[in-house]
Amino acid sequence: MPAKQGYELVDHTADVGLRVWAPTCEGVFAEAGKALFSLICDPRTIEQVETVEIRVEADDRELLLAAWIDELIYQFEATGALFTDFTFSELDETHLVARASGEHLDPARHAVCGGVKAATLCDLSVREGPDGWEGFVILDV
Amino acid sequence: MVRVERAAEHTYVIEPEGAMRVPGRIYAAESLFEQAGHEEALQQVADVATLPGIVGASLAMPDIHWGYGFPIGGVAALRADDGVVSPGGVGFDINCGVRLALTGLDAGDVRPRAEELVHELMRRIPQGLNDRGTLKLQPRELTKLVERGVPWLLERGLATERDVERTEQGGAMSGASAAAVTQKAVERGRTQVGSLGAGNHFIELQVVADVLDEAAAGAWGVHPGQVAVMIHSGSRGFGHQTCTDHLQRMAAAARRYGIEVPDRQLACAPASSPEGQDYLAAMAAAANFAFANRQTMMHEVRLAFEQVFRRPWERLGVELLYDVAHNIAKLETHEVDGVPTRVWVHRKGATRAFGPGHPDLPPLFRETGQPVIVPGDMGSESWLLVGTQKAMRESFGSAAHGAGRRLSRGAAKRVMSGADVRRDLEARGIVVGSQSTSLLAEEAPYAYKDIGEIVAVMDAIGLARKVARLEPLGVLKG
Repeated sequence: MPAKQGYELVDHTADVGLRVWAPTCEGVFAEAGKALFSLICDPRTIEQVETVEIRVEADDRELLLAAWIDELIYQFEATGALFTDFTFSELDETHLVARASGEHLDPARHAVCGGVKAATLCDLSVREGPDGWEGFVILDV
Repeated sequence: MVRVERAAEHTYVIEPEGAMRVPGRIYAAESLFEQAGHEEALQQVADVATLPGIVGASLAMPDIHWGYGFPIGGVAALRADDGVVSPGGVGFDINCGVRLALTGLDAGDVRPRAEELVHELMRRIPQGLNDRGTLKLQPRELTKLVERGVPWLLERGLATERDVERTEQGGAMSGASAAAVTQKAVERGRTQVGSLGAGNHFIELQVVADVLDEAAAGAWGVHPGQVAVMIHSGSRGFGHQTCTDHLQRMAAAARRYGIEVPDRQLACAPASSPEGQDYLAAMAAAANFAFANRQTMMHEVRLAFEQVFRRPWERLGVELLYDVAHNIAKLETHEVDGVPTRVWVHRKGATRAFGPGHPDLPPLFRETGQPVIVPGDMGSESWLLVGTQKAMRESFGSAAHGAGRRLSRGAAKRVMSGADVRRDLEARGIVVGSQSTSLLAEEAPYAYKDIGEIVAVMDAIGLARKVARLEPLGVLKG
């Protein structure tokens, strides 16, 4: 039995599929964030020393998941931010307000192990099932 | 599952069904049907055929594989007047492409210095993740660079007039507007001009191993034993962010335009709509970023040759043969049912392959047809081909762009470690420069299709003709 909340990476010829599940929609978005940064850097090397507020808007819940991942990719590339923990004060179909905790890239301590260009919209899904929430997104790596 | 029928040698057809507006046509070797993910890739060919304004057929080149939205190796021509444009049909790495620079040096001159040369290239050209490019630009300068492309680098002494002429579209897409690009794209891209990036991008020292078309090779100054440098890279974070921003906007707008697509990655808007026009202006800016990125790296390649061989690069003959885009949408005129029609040709992992006589080509290539540069995977052979009249009739002047993945990155890593891949390449006399051993495993030769087969299919159909085969001497990876 998989844990109540988590993520797994799914092979895709050119890219990486990401399956996330959690009891709540917030949990799905948090797991997607964790999974993303696990592709960029070993999460065990990331300390939680600062917290950033992040706001994202999109046209519907699925696009919001893609936009959330894209925002985190942007934060990493533009500022070197590495996050491992996420909480949400607001999250509905079209917008979210999150607090992301982590630290900035320090090449002496962090080995960047992979890059992610963007979240694709291919087979993108976020839905509530009988056992909680599930999401799926293919990342272009 | 889509129904595919064999129409001729190396040619397969998907007849229109459901929402498909045109057939699908796939140029491929029989082995496609043994490849993992081929059913998904063929479904994507059928999905593209549903786009409003598509003409002729939804095409796939011989390196077709499973992508997202479009298959990789997908080509679609959409009427400029009343058709759509689709950011997903160009991809996140806008104007990912490849250039080939020739040198006046032979393998015998370079082989003893190959290690030194690869190290000098590694020192000069940032590679890998979160790197910073060689060109430090103020926001105002970036605006000029993306609006004017390689000609702007000419003014800065980083390009020659010949470089401009030898770049697809003269290294400057018209209609590029920095105003259509978000601040986020600027922030991601500002420090990345002149950087290689990661993934399948590379710089390779190569030697011309065989010449198969002496007339074209002679006209281009290509001869056996000659050393060449291939650069494969794109528009870095600037292009990724540009696609991301416009994809979201179009996915949201689709409902308003009453466009239904089978896969949201195919999100699109009429080319003439505000969303379409903004995307095209931003895409052109990102394309110019990529042309300039490859040009800036080639400038560093020239300086590296100067450093190692102690002579000016002009005397070493480090000259650009050609630079081609393989993720792009271009406004072109093609005959559709006998009528010249303005179309946006989307090439998603496909190279333009214009034949002789095309007015968009510089004079030399107007005689011969344009060079079609087809990189192999890391450490295997690459090919130089020439565009044909047949490609103009069959494939909107397009051909395959590379080997195409056979194994996922995860599967490739399970076959062999990066350290083993490095040893393997070095045992074959190839100098390897890379910071990332896991990347070497992901990009190992067995993860890709056989480039020789892909090139043979193109040559047999006549989409492009073989000119020369190149083998690696040294490779620089992200």
